[in-house]
Amino acid sequence: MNDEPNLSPHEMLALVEDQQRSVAGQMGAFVPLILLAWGVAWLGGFTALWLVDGLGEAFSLPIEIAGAVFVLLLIGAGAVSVVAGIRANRGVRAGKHAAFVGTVYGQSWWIGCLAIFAIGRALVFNGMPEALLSVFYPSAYVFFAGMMYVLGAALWHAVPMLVLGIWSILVSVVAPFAGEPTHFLIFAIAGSASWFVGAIWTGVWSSRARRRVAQRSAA
Amino acid sequence: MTELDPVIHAAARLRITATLATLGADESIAFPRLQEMLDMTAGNLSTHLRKLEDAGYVAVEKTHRGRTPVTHAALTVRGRRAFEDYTAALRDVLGKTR
Repeated sequence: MNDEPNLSPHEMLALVEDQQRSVAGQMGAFVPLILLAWGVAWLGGFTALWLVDGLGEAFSLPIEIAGAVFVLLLIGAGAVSVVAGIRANRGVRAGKHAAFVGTVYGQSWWIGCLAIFAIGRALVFNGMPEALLSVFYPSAYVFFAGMMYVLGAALWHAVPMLVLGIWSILVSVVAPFAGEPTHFLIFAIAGSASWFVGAIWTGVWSSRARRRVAQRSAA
Repeated sequence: MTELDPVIHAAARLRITATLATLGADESIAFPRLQEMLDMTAGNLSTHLRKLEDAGYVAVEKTHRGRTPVTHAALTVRGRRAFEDYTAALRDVLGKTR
């Protein structure tokens, strides 16, 4: 490689900016995949739940099958997230600060999920009809996930995460007013759409940065 | 006008420095991953890393994971400052204000 500075100051500055964008794109290359996995999980999982009662007499998916599809898709998306996240960070030795942030954020997910489960049971314990859990749980979990995205956006300065978070919170408060089983359909469509849009957005962004830096360093 | 730092003012070393600057202050990166991010040959990257290390801009740490040697690189405080000064000087030259 040529050691002489053969680029103009303008090109050098552009090289810095594109290289850093390319790094961010490579560190975040896993993001579109994760978003896609969650989009599929939401669309498939909530549609399955909706199919239990949603089509009336025409068709009914047994609740056991719908529940199993929902849980398996969520576990699958979770597994994709964990594996892709680990792969993206390979080779980077985190400092104490980043390690602390990552651990607290990661553990908060399952702590929050268990807490919501307990709150739901407590409502039933205090006389809420058990049937209402199918309205309470999806909304509470989607709301919680939305708050976690907003928190993640604040921690890692990630705008797509902020948009996804706010959208999830919005869907979680609007959907329950549609009542059962239509709220499942709203989660399936409005929820998954945001994931798919996010996957495309982040995918295009990172591949563009990589292409530009490749052109510049070849020049 | 500020003089441009000759250590950083070369496309390859500028890209290495810019990449390392994206890491947190107490983070470091393994050689193969850095190589992948820069799309450089190992020899080329080593050469330029050594020049940056000689200037005190980069700290290279060689450790072992089991029996495999692992090399981690990170910007030093001085290196991070030099990079910031360099990009500030470029913006100065270009009449850009931040």
